[in-house]
Amino acid sequence: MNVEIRIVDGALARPAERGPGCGVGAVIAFEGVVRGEENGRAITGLDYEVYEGMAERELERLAVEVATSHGLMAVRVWHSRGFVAVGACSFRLEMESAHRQASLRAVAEFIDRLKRDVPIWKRAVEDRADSSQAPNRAGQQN
Amino acid sequence: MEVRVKVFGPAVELAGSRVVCVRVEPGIDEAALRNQIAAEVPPLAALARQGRLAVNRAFARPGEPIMEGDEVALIAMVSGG
Repeated sequence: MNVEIRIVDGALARPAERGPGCGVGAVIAFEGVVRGEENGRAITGLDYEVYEGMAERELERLAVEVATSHGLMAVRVWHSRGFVAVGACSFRLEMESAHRQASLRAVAEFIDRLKRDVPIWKRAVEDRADSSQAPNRAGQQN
Repeated sequence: MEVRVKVFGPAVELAGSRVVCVRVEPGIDEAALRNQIAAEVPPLAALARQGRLAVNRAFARPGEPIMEGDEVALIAMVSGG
């Protein structure tokens, strides 16, 4: 099993092309993209706050648990910290398995548990200059 | 002993600070500490009762004692992804 966790500043870049491992029959990728509105109000982006050290550890623990329970061959997770503009990618999840059902089920479980257990918070930013302010306000889910 | 509890996300705005301090007996468990936070910092009462504590960057186990020098954080209303 291959698990990779990365928390990076700002929006996520396009991933490099890579070939699936031996025996992989399904690669499922999910990307979370910042919407242009939050609670009915126009926004310019989302500002992500991360509890450094714990967030990475919880993401890895979650990835290993989900990979083990669903028999996945690989899990790769990228998550942004700081400001991410509307339309940009702030979260990417890739899973590889022998058959599609395992990865499809695992993606849904991983995201549900991420939104419950991983110490990351997002705050809607209505004005770009507002992104440097400290308090965060949780918004709706992607 | 004094416990400095880190807060994040919407809790920062509610508390007006990134850290709240409470005086407790050494060895207080995580549930009792959450109750004490709720009592001493009323704007955080709901989050303290519904949320979880992390001790040294891992979720506290039920009944886990908090000791001098532990890094304690209130984890509530996470919204990643």
